[in-house]
Amino acid sequence: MLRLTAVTLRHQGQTVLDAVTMEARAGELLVVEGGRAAGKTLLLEIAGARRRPDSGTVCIADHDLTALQRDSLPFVRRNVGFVESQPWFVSGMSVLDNVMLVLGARDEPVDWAREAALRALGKVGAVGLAMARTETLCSSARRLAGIARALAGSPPVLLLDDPSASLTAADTGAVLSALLGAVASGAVAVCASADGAFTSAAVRAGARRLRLEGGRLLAGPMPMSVVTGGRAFDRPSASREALP
Amino acid sequence: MKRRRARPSIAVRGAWAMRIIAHGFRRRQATLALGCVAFSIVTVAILVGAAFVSAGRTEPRPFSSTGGAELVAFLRDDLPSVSRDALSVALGRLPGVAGVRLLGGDEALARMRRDLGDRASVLDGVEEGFLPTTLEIALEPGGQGVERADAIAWRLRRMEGITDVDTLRTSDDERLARLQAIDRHSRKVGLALAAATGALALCLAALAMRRPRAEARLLSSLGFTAAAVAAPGAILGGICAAVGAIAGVCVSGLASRIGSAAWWLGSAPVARMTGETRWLAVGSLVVVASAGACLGWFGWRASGRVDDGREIAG
Repeated sequence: MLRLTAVTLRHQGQTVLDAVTMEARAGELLVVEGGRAAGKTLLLEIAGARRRPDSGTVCIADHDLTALQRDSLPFVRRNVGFVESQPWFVSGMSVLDNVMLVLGARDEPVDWAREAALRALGKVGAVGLAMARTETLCSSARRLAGIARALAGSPPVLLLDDPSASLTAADTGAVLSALLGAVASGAVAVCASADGAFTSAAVRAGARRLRLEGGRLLAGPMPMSVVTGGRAFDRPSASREALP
Repeated sequence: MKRRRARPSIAVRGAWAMRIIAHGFRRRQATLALGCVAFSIVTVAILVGAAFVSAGRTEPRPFSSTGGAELVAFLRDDLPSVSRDALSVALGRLPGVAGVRLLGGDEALARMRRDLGDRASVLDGVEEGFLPTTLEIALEPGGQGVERADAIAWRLRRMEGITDVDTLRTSDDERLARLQAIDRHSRKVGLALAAATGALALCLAALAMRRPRAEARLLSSLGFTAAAVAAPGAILGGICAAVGAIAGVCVSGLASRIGSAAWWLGSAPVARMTGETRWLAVGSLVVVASAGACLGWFGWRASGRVDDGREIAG
C-alpha cells in the first residue's frame, strides 16, 4: 500500500533522510520512533505527498507520487489522513466544519460528510467538541480534532505525527483504539512518535516498530502479528477507494 | 457506513464551494476591513498625487500684467492723437513718474489675448476698439513714486482727457510668484506623501494577505485543487475590485468638481483637475483594485509551497 524506496532529503547542507526504505501493507500499523530532529516529521510529509524528496520514490497503491504532476497531488492528499505535529485549522469555523472540510475536498455530499465527521469525532471521544471554535481549543483538544479530521471518511492511508502528544492516558487509549479500528478495516497507518508509552502500547496491540536515527531507518522488533502471519491487520478491504 | 460512490455532481461541488465562499465572507470581515483601510489609503494617495501633479501643470491665473507699470490711465475715446501725445509728455514731467507709454486699443487687445493663453477664445468676436487707449505710467521707486501711487492717481483723474485711472500693485505679481513657489514645493511634498501612503497601504495589504495564505495552504494540504483553493479569493478580490473602481470614479469625480470650484474661486493656483488627470486617477484606482485581486489570487495559488519555500512537486 505505502512504499518508500531509497528516499533521501537534504536540508541546509545536511542529509536529513538517508536512503530510507520502508513498506507498509494494507491493514498494518507502523510506529516510527526517534528522538528530536530525527526526521520523523519530514518522513511523514514525504509519505503524504506534502514534500518532495531529493531522490527516491514514494508509492501509494503502486502509484509513484514523485512522478505525479503538481496538479495531481491534491487527488492523493485527499485520500491520506494526515495529522501534523501541531494540527492547524481554518479559524472561525467549528470543529465539525473543519472535520467536514476534508470530505469536501473529496466532493462528498454535505449531509454524508456531516455524518462521517461526527462518527470520526466519536471515535476519538471528541463529539463534545463538534460545535466549538477551533481557536478556542486547548492543545489536547486540537490534537483530538486533528486526528478526527484524519480519520473522517476512512482514508486508506493514515499518517500521524506524534499522535499522543499532550493527550491524557484515556485520550491516548481512544486514539489508539480508533487507529486499530482503521487498520482493521484495511487502512495503513504510520505513526511517528517519541512517546515510549504510546509506542509500547501500539506494539502490544500489534504495531510494527521502526526506529529512525540520524536519517536512517532501523527495523525494530517484529510484531507478533507479522510473526504469526498476521491477525486482523492483513485484511485489505475491497471497499476502499482506489487512489487516482 | 454504506454509500454509493459516484462521480460528484455539479450540485455537490457547488454546495461545497458556496460553503467555503460563505465562510470566507464571514470569517474575513477583519481582513476585509484591513483591506478597505489599505484601499482607502491608496485612494487618498493617488488623489493627493494627482491633485499635486495637476497643480504643477495648472497655468497661472490670467493676470493683466502691464510690464512694470504701476498706473494705467484710460483716455477718452474721442481724444485726438495730438492731445494724447501732449498728455503723455505732460505726465512724464510729473514728479515721481519714471516713464509713460501710450498703448492703443488694438495693442491692448493683443496683449490680453496673449495673457489669456488657452482662454483667449473668450475674446472671440470682440470688436475692434473694444479696449480704450491707455497710458501706462511707471513710477519711480521710493517716497516720490510707488509709495505715492494713490496720490498721483487722484491727481491724474482730475486731468482733462482721462476717464479713469487704475492703480496696479506689484505685490499682486509677488503674491502670485510666491504662491507658485509654494505650489512647486508642495507638489514635491505631495508626491512624497503619496509614495509614503502607498507604501503603507502595500504593507497593510501584505498583512491582510497573511491569514488567507495560511488558510490556502491548509486547504491545499487537505486535497483541494488549486482552482478550488483560488476561487474564494478570486471572487472576493473581484468584488473588491468592482467596488473599488466604482468608489474611485465617485471620489475622483467629486475631487474634480471641488478642484474646479476652488480654481474658479481663485483661492489658490492649484486644484484644477483636468479631464486627463481625472481619468488618470480613475485608471490608477482600477489598476490598484485589479492588482489587489491578482495578489489575492496568487496568494491562494501559493498554497502549494512548503515552509522552506520549495514546491511540493511539479
